[in-house]
Amino acid sequence: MNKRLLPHTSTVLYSGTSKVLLFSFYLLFVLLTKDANSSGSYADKTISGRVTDPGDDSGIPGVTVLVKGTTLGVNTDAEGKYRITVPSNRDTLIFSAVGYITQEVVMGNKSVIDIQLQTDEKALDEVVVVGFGTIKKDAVVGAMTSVKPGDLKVPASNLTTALAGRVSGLISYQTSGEPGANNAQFFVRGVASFNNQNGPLILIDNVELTVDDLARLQPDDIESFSVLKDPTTTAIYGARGANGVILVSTKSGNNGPAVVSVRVENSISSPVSLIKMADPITYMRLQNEAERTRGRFATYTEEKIKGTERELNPNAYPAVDWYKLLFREATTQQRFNMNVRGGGVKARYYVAGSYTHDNGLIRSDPNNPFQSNINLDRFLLRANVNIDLTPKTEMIVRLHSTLDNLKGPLQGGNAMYNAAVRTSPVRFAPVITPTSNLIGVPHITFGNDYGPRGSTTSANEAAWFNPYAELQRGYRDTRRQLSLVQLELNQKLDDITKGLNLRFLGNANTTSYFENRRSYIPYFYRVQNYDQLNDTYSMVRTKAGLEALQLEPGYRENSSVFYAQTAIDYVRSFNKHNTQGLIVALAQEFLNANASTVSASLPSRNLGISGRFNYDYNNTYFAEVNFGYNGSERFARNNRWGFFPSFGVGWLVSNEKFFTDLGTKISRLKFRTSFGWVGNDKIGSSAASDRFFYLSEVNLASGQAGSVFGKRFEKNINGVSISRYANAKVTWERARKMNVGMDLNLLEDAIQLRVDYFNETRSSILQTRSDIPSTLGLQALLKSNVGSVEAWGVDGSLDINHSFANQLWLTARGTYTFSDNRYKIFEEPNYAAIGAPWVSNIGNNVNVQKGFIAERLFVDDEEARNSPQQFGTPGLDYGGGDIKYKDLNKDGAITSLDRVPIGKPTVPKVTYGFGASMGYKKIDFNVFFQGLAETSFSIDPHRTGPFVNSITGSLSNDPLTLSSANGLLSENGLIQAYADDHWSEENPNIYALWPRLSTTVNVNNNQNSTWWIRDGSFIRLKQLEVGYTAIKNTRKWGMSNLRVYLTGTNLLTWSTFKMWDPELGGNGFNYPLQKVFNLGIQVGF
Amino acid sequence: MFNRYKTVFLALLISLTGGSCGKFLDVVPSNIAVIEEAFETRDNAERFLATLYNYLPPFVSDLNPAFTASDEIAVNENISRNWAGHILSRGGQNKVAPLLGYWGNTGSVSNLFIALRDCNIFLENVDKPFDILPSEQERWTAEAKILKAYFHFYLMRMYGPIPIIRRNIEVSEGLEAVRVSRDPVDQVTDYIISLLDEAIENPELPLTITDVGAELGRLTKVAAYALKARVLVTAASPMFNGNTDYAAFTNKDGTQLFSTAYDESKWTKAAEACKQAIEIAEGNGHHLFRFDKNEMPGSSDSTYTKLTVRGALTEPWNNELLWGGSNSTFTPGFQGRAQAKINPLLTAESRESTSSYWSPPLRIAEMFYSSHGVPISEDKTYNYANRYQTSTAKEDHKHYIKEGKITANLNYNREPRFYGFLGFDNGIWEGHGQTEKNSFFVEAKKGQRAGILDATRYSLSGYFTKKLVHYEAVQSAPNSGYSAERYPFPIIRLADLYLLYAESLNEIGQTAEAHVWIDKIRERAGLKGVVDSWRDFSISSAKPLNKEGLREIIHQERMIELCFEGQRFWDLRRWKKAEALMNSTIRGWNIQGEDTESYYNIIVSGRYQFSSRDYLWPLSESDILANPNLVQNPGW
Repeated sequence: MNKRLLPHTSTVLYSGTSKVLLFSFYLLFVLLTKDANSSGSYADKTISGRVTDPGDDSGIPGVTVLVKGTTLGVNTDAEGKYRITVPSNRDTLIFSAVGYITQEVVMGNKSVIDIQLQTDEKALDEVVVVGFGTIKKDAVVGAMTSVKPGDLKVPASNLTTALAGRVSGLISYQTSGEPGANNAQFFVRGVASFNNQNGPLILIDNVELTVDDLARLQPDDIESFSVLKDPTTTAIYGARGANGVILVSTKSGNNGPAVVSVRVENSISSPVSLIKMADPITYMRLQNEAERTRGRFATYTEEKIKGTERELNPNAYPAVDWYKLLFREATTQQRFNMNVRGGGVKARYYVAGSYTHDNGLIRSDPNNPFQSNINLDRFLLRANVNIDLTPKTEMIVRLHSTLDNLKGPLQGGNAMYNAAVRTSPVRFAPVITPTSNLIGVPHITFGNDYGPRGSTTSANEAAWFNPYAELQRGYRDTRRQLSLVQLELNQKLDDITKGLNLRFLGNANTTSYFENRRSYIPYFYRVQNYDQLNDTYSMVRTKAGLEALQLEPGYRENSSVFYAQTAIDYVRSFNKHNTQGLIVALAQEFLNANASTVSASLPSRNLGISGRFNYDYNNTYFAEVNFGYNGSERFARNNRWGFFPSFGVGWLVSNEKFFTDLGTKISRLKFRTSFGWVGNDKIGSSAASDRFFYLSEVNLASGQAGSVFGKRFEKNINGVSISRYANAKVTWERARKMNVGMDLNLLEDAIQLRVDYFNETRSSILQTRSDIPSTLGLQALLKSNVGSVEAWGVDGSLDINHSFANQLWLTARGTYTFSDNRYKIFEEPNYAAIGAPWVSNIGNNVNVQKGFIAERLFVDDEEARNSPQQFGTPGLDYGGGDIKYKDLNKDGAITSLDRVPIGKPTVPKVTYGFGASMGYKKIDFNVFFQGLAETSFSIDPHRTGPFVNSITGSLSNDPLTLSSANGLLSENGLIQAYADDHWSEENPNIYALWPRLSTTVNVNNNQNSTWWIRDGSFIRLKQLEVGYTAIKNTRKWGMSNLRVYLTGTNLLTWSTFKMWDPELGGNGFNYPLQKVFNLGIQVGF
Repeated sequence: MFNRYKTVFLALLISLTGGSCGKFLDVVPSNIAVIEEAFETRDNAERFLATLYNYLPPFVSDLNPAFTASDEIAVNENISRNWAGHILSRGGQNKVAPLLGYWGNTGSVSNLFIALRDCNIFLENVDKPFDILPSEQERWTAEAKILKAYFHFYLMRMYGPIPIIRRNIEVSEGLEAVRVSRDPVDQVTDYIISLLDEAIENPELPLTITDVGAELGRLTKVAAYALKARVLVTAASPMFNGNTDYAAFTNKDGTQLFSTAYDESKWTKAAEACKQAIEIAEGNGHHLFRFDKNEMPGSSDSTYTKLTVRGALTEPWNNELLWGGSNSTFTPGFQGRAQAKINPLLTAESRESTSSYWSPPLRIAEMFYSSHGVPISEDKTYNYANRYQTSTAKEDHKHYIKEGKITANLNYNREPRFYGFLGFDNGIWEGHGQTEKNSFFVEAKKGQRAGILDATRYSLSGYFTKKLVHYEAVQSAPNSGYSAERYPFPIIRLADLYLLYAESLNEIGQTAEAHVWIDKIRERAGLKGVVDSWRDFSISSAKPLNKEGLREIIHQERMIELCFEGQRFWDLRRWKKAEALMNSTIRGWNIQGEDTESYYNIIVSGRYQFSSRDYLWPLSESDILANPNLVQNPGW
């Protein structure tokens, strides 16, 4: 065993990263001392001056001032000032900067030379942020989307909700509107693997962070936001880049007086839509119908129905609208954001603070001493400080902290919204008005009834899940904090060779999360002996509680990340040959304090070297080579390292001489293509627990696997259980990607079109082996890198900008993303050989569900008996009015061999968005639509099934079953649509929306089938905004900027699906997405 | 200058790419647990052995089909309707995720092939620990072999032909190697017997357990002999011996999986094995259990007999037990399922400490003999036609039925085992901390303390499985507790062996010898021998004298004596009687009745279903798909 050869890991722990650090500091020291020594070597003449921009006379920082014919040169400082010592035999200076036309100036006798550089129209602000640095926009040969931070300003405290439709190449949708749990799902160019971890790599200021951290970013703090999509832009991230990269950098300070900017917003939000439920009378009548039609006795007496109808005492005849009882119709949010930006000669700063406050829609009982509503406070502080240690050395310190303080119901808002539609409106009153003998009772008298037909609780005990009691019995108090410290050092190494830079970045961040759950045990009562004449009743306690609050510690998480990178880059032009190069080395370590096993507690590490080389000739022909070389601790030594190269070329046709004639119509035309390999290390069930595939995982003292012996059963010997067999061959997922793109600008850039076609083959996807017969007797499933998926698609964007003569301007933008995929290799039985080729996954989209083909409902029991065997006994478990499935292999029974892919993928194939902004003088107007297409979801027949119990036992992916509801019973509510359209003996419609009613789960009808598939596409008016800019770039009332705006979000939705908000998909019972009306003020000082 | 930088850069690059990188990624400490470590020390190997015992199917559990899927014990639907066994007994087996299937990973119980793999791992590595004693290594090897034999046997009983797992196949051997096919049942039997013989011949396997405090429950030679007898009897039984129903059941290559020609020598071998097992057991201190009169002085013989027949099962580790499941015990919780609520001081709350829902259907109550030791339908003196009517208990029945109370005629004039094994309305419940004189009795009508009061904790037939309750178990009234002595599940006991021997002897024509062994069981149960009993009281008086007649008698004797012990379920299958007996209605008294008149009416509360395909469990579809060399069982 070579595991014996790995001594004292703890001492090796930091040696890798510490070396990076040590050398960097050493280098810095050398450079600093060197600068001091070298001054005055050629001290013949000193020239100083200032380089300014023609637009606003501001200084241009970073302009290279070079003595012609030498390698001597300096850069201008942040104010554009420079000072250079020139040998006596030279008299020409060259001023050059990216985005400006290079100028040569003869100094003559002057000792002060101030010049104004002319902007290079073609290259102006055409620098884009890519992995570990920037490159000229023209030099981009791959596919990436840069988003203007302004486009991300939506009235929500979650940035991820702003992405849908605004970024070409990003598939995004939101499945819950609960504050604190409303992150959108998003995938760069869709999904290309079936391992369920398809989220992109998220980098904020170069550091890998989570979706939650991205969600908390303030758009005001964002300098640039890019989505990297193709191999040339992502291969540099090696084994982390295959799912695409979201790259965000935050603002840094600039030279000048402090500029204060404040934004205040206040919004009102309400659900986009709620599910329409049937009234209590219909509920009872149909529940009786459901019992009778299945040959059982009716649940409700006519007396009870009549009493409810006459609205007699609501304690005795409850008729509860759970939505109304549990939730408010609207709620408010406040957001406050402030930042200061400025700086002097030696240092620049950007400091931002923000506070957001979100209220949930949940009601609290006035008799409760605490609030159960969701109450989310978020605080954020960011300080980015740049300091020039020497003219060539810049130090940047970034400090950042976010604090979330969330109070809310014990089970979360999604669970409560679920509970509202999954509870009977008539079984019990949520709270029973205390009778006279109970006046002064020190607890809330929650209602609850005895269990019915065969509950597991005893007959004289409360048996039902009372959502109101669940909501009021306690709350959770959670806190999440991210603290991040980052040091960056940039050293210019022009002395070695011009254009060479060394950069070092060290980062440490910790995330901590904890929740305290405080709750009491509710008391339940039942109404008995209701006397109609006197309107009196007596109360029986059905379950004793405990008034005092108890604490149950909730989920806790504590993790720490250390990250270091050192980069050397080089930019230089030789006549028409422009070159740029980058080599970066990085080390990352992640530690989790809440591991439950030894192997999960060990640090996760990533080590790598990456590089990028760009070359272009005359800004016309471009070439780029990238590579990433990564190692991870998760794999065996021989498979630990992965090499991921990529190549790209581009041709800027519009820069060709022959093209100039067309220049007025077509202002820019570029073709790009790239090809390469990228890796994905997010394999296995989850990054933390499924690790070390090359080692077996064994519990040598498992209580569950042991045995007991002896007369008194006292000799207890623990056993051995195996949860993983060693597989040294497991390694990365590999993606082979290709991209072809075109940029076309027309009419002097008034119209800009970008289109990209891409395809990808993801191979070595970790998959559970299905070829291994169970007779082999393996305790743990074997996994190996066998799967492969092919993905392809198109994304593009179209921008239109036009300013009319009389201060009227118009911009319009549209994005479109199409992405599809299919299983290429998937280990599965040879279905074709057994006559069921349709069961095979090969060729299907990985996100398509599988199920039976529902033909229609059975006409009667007789037909069910004469049809292929389904689920249970025909005529007994299913019959007339139940779903009839298609027996595809004609073997006389509906089995798993009759399952086929049904519907479209659950991850949409198409996302699009379009909108326009226009302004006239001080008024601006903005509208944005967003949509999804080519997607399906299925209605869950168990969760939506009227009258059935859906909280005992476990439904997959259900917020409610996580709760303490287990063991209690529920009766689902009745959705109006089902009440209106179901099969019944009076109306035996074989195409009714809902089959024959039942009060118990009907296994036959609950199968995943086409019966429940719905089209998930929709288009919605995502945002509408009107703004008035009162002050701009002038000083008035002490302000330099003032804009007031009114925004509406999620205002209208068009979809063929009407039961709930289609964006929620199969999670229609979740906390609804919000329609928001927002008033904001932005002020600059 | 220039050189200086160059050096620095080179150093930097080397530091990042060079030697330290490898180490940076070596985060795993040397002593993280891996499989090899399980055999580094004796103690670890012992844990592995404990793991093998852990793979014994859960006998005392809802997951034991012989309890929950048999027709001996019915449980009200409110509690049991989602139990796999319940669905199974109603004909609800399926092949997508077979219920209680021990073959494969789709069911609710574990895949026994995992146990077989671990047996082989253990057998291959048990010599590895540096500190293991040779004698220990030998003994453990023998134990592992017996377990390996038992797991094969368990699978064979369920599935018929199974692949024999002689050694472990590794994934690396390739697809064709891992795609095993099924071996004919005769070969499986031979293999099981060869494993047991190897264990029996092992000198380090003890005859009986001497370190009772630490080792009871471990396997012994006595257990190995008894198991061998059980395996050979099973293999000789109609299900596996000349079963022509499976004539067409072959592997894909045509191999016949069931022998279709009856072979009497299988019974001869079985009889020999039974004889040997009995001799070894009796030679090592095992005998039929008798209740010690000093434990409950002054009681009548009737009561002693009741306590004897009950104690044969419930007295922990009594001398009749040849192999007890120390991992599967009748805990107080399980005994509570059999316990009727009889303490007169019970309150609404304290009643809930027992669940009382294991209910023998009326047919099981009718199965017991009359007081003359013959079936009630054959007893000339028994008023069979009026058995559902009622009468008042007189003094002569005072140890069985509360004097002066009314109960059904069916409950009168029955053999002692009827009274020892069953609780019923107005029946005496001996023990429970009371002397004979003060014995509690069951009051099972609605509204009474043992009757239906809540949704789940009640008997659906009005009968209770008293046999499973240790006589000292007490449900106390004020503190709402239930205490009961825990006892091991009898995987095999001596009475079982006697009856297997009687059965085997009868099948090879040694009728008179068979009488000896069945009569030992009857004598203990307070009954006369079969010949005398039938001659004096039965309408078919010569029944015990011929092979067919005696076969019926032995079958019934076995179903009575081993009632509620998880035997009937398998016996009915090996006798091929399941179709005839298991398609039956579940009948009981009208438990909703509040008085004698309404209570003593027969109510049907369900129906057992069994079709010919249910004799063998289905293989799951996914197993058939993963291994094309496997054939599905007939009918599935």
